[in-house]
Amino acid sequence: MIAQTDRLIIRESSGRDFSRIYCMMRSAGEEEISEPVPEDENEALEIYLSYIHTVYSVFGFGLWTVCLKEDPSCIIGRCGLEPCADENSPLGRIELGYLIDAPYRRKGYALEACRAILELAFGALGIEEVCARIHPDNKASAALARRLGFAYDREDLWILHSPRD
Amino acid sequence: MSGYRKLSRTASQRKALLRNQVTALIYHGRIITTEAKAKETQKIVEGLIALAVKEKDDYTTVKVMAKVPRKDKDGKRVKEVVNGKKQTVYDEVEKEIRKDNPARLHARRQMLKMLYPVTEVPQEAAGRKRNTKEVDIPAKLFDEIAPKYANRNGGYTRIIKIGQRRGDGAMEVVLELV
Repeated sequence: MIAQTDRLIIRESSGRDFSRIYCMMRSAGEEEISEPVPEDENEALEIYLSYIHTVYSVFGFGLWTVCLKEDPSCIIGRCGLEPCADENSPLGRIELGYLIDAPYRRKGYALEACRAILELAFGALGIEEVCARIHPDNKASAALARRLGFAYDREDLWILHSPRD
Repeated sequence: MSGYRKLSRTASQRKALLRNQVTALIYHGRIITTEAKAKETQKIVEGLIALAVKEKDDYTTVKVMAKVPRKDKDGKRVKEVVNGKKQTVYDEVEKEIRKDNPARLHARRQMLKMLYPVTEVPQEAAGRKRNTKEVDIPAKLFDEIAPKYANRNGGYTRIIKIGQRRGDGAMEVVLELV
């Protein structure tokens, strides 16, 4: 388990979560999820498994599965930290990613999960800066980023610095 | 097909980008980039490490006399008055240095052709200027990286795919020293 909040459990994703996560990603709108989701389920599964296999072991973090504490089998979304390439820095940047399934939105789950993840990022992981890429039309996501303390930087990029800085 | 990727850049921009990536990889040991850039960077870095491995022990140790300023217990230079002028007092000490043999010196210069200078600036505000140092990347290649790979014939780096980039879908990878 990665983190626990009042209502949620954040844990590493596994192969068993795939079908639920794939459904969630397919049903998400274009402005909610900017990475391409393959139409072929087998291709998506291959990408998903290789992601789990490499990213967790190389970096020690990645996108995690979010489920309800009262029913841990109920997966409601995916949140986490992702290493991404950056034009300005060869070391890349760390992005906060969050996707909550439509029936579970507007309940504060994303805020709760992201707060726990940012605490982990700036604390145990020692990350100094976290970014978020948000589509200009995704007003809810931008509002969440603002509540988390992110500041708009440029184009679709929002930035949050470690509170220690 | 040509032997290299143009990476959508003019020759000078491409060279600058690759020099940046190569320097960062050797300095940090790992970079995150796109697959196309990583493959081009990998070609160059493999060559540099092979060069470092080949020439790592090609030096002679020589003794030289060095003039070192004498310092007091506070670390300040000791001064003496000569002809009414304050001058620093120097001591002559024998120092052992490693002198590159011609092949190694050439290798060092080949490396410097590709590497950018790196300056290390400490995080703490106190003494930031005093502790800012230029990092000797060829020395790192010869003394830290090359000994690790002495028994390896190539394959000093690895590319790990981490997913597609948001936006244009380019594959993002980690390029790291093995």
